[in-house]
Amino acid sequence: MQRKFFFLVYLFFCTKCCCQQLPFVYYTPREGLINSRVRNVLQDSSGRMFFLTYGGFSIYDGTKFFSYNVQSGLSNDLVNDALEMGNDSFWIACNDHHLNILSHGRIKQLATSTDFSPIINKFLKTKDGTIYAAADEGLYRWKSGIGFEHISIKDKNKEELLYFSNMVEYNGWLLLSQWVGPQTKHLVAVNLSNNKIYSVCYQPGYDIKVKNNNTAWVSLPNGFMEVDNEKLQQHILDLNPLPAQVGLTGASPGSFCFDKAFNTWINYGSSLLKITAAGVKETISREQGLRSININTTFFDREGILWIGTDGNGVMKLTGTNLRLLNNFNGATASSIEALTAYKNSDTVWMYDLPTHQIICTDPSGSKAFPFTVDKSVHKIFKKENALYISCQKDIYLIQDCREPSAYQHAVNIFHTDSGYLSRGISDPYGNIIEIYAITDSSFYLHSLVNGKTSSYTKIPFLVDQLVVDSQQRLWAATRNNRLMVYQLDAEHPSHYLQLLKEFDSKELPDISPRSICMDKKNNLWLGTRLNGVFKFELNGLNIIKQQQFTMQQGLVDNFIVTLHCDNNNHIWAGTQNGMDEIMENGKDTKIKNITKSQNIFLFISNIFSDKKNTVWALSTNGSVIKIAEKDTGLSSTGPAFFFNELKVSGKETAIEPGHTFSSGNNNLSFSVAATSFMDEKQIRYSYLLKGSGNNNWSEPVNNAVFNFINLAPGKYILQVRADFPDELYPSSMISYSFSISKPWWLRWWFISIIVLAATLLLYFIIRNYYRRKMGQQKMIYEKQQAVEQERSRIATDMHDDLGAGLTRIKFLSENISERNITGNDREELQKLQGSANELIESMGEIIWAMNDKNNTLEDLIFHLRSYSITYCEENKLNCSFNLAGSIPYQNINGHTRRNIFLIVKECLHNIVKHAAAGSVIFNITAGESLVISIQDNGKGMSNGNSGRGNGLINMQKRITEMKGSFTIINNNGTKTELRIPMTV
Amino acid sequence: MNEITVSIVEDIAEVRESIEKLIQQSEDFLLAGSYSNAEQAEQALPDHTPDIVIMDINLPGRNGIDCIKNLKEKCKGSQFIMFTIFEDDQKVFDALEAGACGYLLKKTPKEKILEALKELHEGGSPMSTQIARKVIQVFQKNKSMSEEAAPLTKKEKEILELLAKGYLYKEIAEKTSISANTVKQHIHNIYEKLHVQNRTEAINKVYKR
Repeated sequence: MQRKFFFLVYLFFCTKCCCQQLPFVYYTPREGLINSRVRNVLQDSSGRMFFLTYGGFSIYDGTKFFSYNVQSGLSNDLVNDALEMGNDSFWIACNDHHLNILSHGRIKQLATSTDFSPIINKFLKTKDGTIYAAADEGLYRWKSGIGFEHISIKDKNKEELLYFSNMVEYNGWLLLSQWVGPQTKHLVAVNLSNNKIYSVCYQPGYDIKVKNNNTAWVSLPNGFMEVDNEKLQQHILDLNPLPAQVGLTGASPGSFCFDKAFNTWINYGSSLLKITAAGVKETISREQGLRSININTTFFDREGILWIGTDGNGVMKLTGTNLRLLNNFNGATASSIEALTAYKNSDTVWMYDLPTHQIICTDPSGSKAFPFTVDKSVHKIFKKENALYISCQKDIYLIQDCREPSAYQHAVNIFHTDSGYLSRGISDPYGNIIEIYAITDSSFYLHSLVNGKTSSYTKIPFLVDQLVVDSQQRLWAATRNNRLMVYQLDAEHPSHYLQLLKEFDSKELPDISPRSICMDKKNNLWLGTRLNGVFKFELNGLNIIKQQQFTMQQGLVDNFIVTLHCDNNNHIWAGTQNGMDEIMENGKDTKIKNITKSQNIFLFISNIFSDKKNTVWALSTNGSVIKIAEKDTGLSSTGPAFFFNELKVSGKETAIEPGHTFSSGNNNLSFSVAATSFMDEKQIRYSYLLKGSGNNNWSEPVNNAVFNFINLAPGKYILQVRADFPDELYPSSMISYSFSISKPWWLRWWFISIIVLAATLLLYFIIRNYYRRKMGQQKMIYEKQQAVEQERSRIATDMHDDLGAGLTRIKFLSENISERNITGNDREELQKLQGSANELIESMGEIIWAMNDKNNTLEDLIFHLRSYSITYCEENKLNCSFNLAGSIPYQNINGHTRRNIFLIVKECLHNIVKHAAAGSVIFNITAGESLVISIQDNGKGMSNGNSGRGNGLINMQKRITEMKGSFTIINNNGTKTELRIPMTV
Repeated sequence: MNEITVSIVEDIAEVRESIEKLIQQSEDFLLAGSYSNAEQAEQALPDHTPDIVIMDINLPGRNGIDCIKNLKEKCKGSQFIMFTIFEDDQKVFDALEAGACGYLLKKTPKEKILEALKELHEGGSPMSTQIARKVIQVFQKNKSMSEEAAPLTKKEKEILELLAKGYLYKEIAEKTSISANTVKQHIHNIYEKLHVQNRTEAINKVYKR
């Protein structure tokens, strides 16, 4: 918003007026207003401003304009009035036969059972809640469920009165006026108790307003009158002239209104006239910055702000402010104040206006100007009792009695110098003057004038810009080259008035180049610098301890501190090359208030004073004076409404419902808030805290009322927004909005459950399938084994039954034959036959044993070996000892291996019996990871010469290799054969 | 001295005749009958009840084991001895279980056959390692169910276990400080108990389901 203020102060003096430029703020279509032709200004219960125009209407909540016209559904662009009906629900009267309703930001037309709506100019809701409508068709009353009912009002000619435009409720009556229509204008009073008794007053009233609940004012072409209350109680509407002291006569007023202080504001079309209760008039027109010459309406809002609706210039706002920029004390010519002096014990301010050579004396009763004929530049005015000392550069003049205008004509020169210049002085509480006296650019003195008589000079090291006297009558001065001096002021010895107490060396004062100095009430020394802002030092006797530094970083408007001043509230005022700041210490908190910057004023402030009423006066180098009255604390104590005014979800406007859940795709939220304080709504600072986001810090307060949250993660959130009002106008206000972002469907519990279930099922089926297949394989293997076994047992049975039977038969046959007398070769052969039959039976038995699955353990094998070996040895007259080391582990051995082992052992035994000529055999069997069988005989041992052993050994070798085993034969007192068969086979 | 009556059931004529001849030639034995199949034997034997019945296992028609089952009760005075080619045959065990008191290997030389028959008659029975193991299994398995069935004595158990481990009668005799004949008699007793076991089991199967 463009804010260019020019302040001119109009002070109402007995003798002259001066003018001030008022800080209007404009709202035009550039700011968002729907139309520049504003007809009416209203405020709703939440403080939002309604601007009704010739082209629709706008609602302004301090952040945003919400505008409505025909395109938004309004029946007509010409909007006459609006009435708040309930929670965010309004009736909007357009200049047609439709009643529009604005509800939660949407417009629709209300259908009534009578299907008739008059052209309503003004709504009124009475204290008992009845709604009346002043319309072109007459007066109407709203009956819920039916619609508008006409209340007939006729004049003395029995003619129906129409075209009502204004309406107020007053002492049980409705007072109505007509607009300039086809009819002659009358005033009407309608009794509210029955709506039938009415009275017509044949006066052309224009606007009616009730003042202070006890009088009703009417504007008429020739001035104001008030309703005669006594007559009205007798059902007669009549008007009386206003009491004379109100001072409202003449001219032709239009609309008017009252402010909180019951000042009357009258709209004359091109200007406004403010008349205070005391009758003081103030005109606000083009000269005061009023841009429009066509005012339609004036309205005071809850904060006491004046809103002016204009035809063509939008809306203008005028807020009250305690700052005045005074630059015209003479009415005609612009003032250029050169010197200004105020004292804390007086409410009189003394100024010197250079262009007019006048000394101006201002106090609450007004100001007076006295010509000061000495045509010299004045840099300071000192006051001692009734005497004024006017300090020029080379002279000091005395005006004996400042109350006597003629005394100004006879100023006495009490000091003159030809070399050097006086500048920047101060007076002690007794009126003794100390000034800086510069002879050359490098030679500086303090010049003191005690009792207006005794001059003395004190040499100082360098140029000093400001002096201060503390509560103990000590003068403090800091030079630009960082020398700080403190002097005791001794008025008893005027010639030695300044007595140096201490000169601080460069170690004690940092290199800050002091330009200004002041002492606060707590005896702290403040130094303003050229480049480094303000330093605060604590005094400990005559030692200084640095406490704090304030620069632009802490909020100062500038780091070049030209002058410092401590007011009665112990606030430090810093005048800079760029304006003025107020430094307020409240306990440990220090607040810096930008006095001029906040009003868009940027001046080089050279001097600051405060008076008895703690009004601060500042002089700028361009001759302007800034006057800051102490703050009016009587402002509305309840803060403005603070609410969310807009929510956009992924760019789309959305209704604001707390606790709403947004889908995961709609996680870009843009919140807009508004606080309906219009004192300086652009300086309201907003900060937020989004609980649930992981960041529990408040954001930096900003002027932006829109908060965007991009790509919020699923979860629950509470958005808290705080509004801090400028200058702590109201306490900070906070609102919150809770919402949540739902998880995307693929993160919801049901989807996860389904996935888990599906995964479980899948896993289950995989495992089941696996085991089924494995079981199938095992079954197949088992079946195969069974088949093998069946086949095996079939073979065994066959062998047993058929071969066995056959062999037995051969055996017995051959035996039978051998019993006969057969000799020679025949017998030999028969015996061979017999032998091989027996052998066959035997080896068949071995095969069957090997094939029998029931004998498949290592234990079976070993016991079988034992049984066989011992039996065999016994049969062959061999001593046999069979030793088993340890227990036999459970181990399956297949038939083939079993048979191989058995056959090897058998072969060994066979060899021993056949070739070794041994007497005993010792078996040692160890069953562990390998089966170790050692067979030791005590025979003659083996030699290569032994024939017939070859085949047996080869067979043994073959069999043992098949089992991946080994055997060794050692000749040692016989033969030791050791078999080693790994059991993993 | 009374002659021991022997009947023979054998389908192979040469074998049968050979045995017949062996019996007839011996002084101590008297051939009571000779049958080439089970049916004949079952008809004739109950009337004779010879001391010993030499029974081939593989017979045409009903086999030797069934034959023993049928005859066991009818011929209470007869001892059945299986005539077999291989001693560790399941069928031999089945026969022993069914009521046979011993077995005779066909490969046995003739002179030893008579010895074995005499031994059997005197109450000594042979038992191979494999059969001993099977017997142990039967008694272990039936331990719980056979309260009325005769349990094995400690001695019998000891002998069985040694037999199962491949010890010879002679060795067992040494280890248990009894004679080899006594060992064989113990074996005989074990067979008898095995029969009881077998019968009890059969009865249980029928009645105690």
